[in-house]
Amino acid sequence: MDFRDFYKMPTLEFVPQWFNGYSFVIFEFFSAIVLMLIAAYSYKCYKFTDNIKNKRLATAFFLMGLGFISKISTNIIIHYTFVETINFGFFNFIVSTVKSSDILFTIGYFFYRLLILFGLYVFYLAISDSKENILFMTYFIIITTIFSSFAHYVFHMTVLILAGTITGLYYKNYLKKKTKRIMLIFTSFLLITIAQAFFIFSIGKHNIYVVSEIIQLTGFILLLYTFIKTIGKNAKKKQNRNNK
Amino acid sequence: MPKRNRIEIINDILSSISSKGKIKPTHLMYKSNLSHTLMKSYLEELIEKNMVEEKKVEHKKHEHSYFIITEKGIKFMEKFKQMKEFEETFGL
Repeated sequence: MDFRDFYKMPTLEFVPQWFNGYSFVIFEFFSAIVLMLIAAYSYKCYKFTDNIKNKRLATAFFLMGLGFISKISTNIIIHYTFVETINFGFFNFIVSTVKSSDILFTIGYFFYRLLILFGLYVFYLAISDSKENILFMTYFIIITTIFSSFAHYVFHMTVLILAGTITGLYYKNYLKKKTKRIMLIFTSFLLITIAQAFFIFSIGKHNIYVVSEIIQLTGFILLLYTFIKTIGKNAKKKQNRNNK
Repeated sequence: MPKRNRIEIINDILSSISSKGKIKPTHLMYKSNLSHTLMKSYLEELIEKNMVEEKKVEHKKHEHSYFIITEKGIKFMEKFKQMKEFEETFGL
């Protein structure tokens, strides 16, 4: 049997056909890579500087990266062969049918929502110095994740609130320090927040879903650009020094 | 002034040496704002890790010692600066 017979792309109700499948996977994969790269560098910073905030940021971005990987797994459907015997008078027929299981789709989406919400909360803790009741927030996140399975927009509303709070903190930081890089970080999170507002209204409206995905991707591209600019600036200086 | 951690103290020592090219132990102690005992223990560690070199020069029958920064020390400072910029950009 051909490999492709086992792995087929499922159809999401609110995703237009032309956007479903590979283009959808590329968008999620890119976001996961950006988040994992920042998580790895932040962990390296933690090992070097011993700053606990770096460890929190690394954990937050790693959780969100895993969340996007979970979302990618929703594109895989497990096909299995179901064998049954049908009695037809004197004859017994053995019928074999290929059925599909959407278990990866259900589990993938559950973990995607859980990991993104947890990641955003840890991210908020890393940059805000807040000492909120972690147990209460954990309960709130789990309840939101379960409830989001029945009402998809609840997840995006929660992400909108968390990402919006983070964007607000970056805006305050920008007003205080007025650097180009902080402005870029603020803009990238603003785009990710705006994308959530579009996602809320995307159910049944295919074009809005595509617009939301594109806005979110732009946010991640800007985040990657800022990250490269931050760590690349010193690398360039180092190269110039070595050439002298 | 907030309390400096170990890595920030090391960076301050290296920056003090780097800005002067070569520096006497007393000057280094004042520049990096450390007690004699603390500075001695940090310098021993930096010399052991090849980030700083101690040079001895004879002047008017007296032996003076100077400290200079090595290539490894400069690399440390660059890495520290890069990571500080990352922390500042991400609001940590």
